[in-house]
Amino acid sequence: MKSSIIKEALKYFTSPVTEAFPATKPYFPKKYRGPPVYDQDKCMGCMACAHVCPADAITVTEKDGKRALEVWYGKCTFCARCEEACPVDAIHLMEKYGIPSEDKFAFKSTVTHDMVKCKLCGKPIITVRHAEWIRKNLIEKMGDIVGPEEIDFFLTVCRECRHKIENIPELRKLLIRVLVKGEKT
Amino acid sequence: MWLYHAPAGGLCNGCDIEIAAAITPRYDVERFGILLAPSPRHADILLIAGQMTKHSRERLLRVYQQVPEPKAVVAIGSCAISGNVFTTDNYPLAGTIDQVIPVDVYVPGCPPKPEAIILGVVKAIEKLEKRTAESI
Repeated sequence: MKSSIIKEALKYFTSPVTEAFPATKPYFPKKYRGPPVYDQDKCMGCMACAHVCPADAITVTEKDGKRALEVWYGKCTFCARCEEACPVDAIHLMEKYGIPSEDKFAFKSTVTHDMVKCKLCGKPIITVRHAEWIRKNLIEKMGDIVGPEEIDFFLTVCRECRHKIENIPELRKLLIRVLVKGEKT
Repeated sequence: MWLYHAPAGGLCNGCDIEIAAAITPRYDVERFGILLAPSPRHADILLIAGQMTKHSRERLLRVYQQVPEPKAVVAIGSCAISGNVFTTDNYPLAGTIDQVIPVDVYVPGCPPKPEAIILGVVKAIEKLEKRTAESI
């Protein structure tokens, strides 16, 4: 500890302190939190980041059967809550700083996703990738109680259609099976 | 180029500390010809950081009117741009800064790195020079 302080102090006698800023790369300390950037290949559009964002910097817009997630750095606190909450590590706080601009809406990062449409009413429900992820995890963890056809039914029918009177007995049967399994373990 | 640093009321002082860091020998803004002015009447560029409160609104306007023409305004930090975690319809707050005075350059960050502040001021200087050339 002490030797590092002496080393740091000796630096000031040997070389100039001033950084040649535009020419050299800026110094980023460990655990530096810069602007969050989406990874289009990994992101599945589950909106966990938008849900936890304390400043509401992440907005979700659903238009023409597509879901777009957008981080606006003009409102972001750089708290890294989105990075913590992301289940697939698709959003990361980069080691860079915001470039100043004359347009305040210029600084942002966006991703867009295709959505699954409801089989019965045609309303968009969840993104295609999110549905795939849920299917994979359900088969892995609850494959012995829930059949693949039932999973498909739940992932392709919207909540309003699912709660209609003709679909309720099926829902109840599944619920009883899950509850019985929960009591046993 | 003379700078005047005006904190706009409700803020955590993070951006002010970063502005203070940007004028230290480590970054040495005098290389770019930037100096701090003690009064807005001597200044060319106004640096505004923080979320504007109802009380600071009038003072901010007065400071802006005291700066001689041509002038440029730089808004520093997320609070000055959009209000950050404090929503703009909060009781003690009076909206964002660009609703009251025209802002030329926005510097994002919470707080922005000193490098970003320097780049923002350099951008404002370019804009100011363009404006002076037009006025002559």
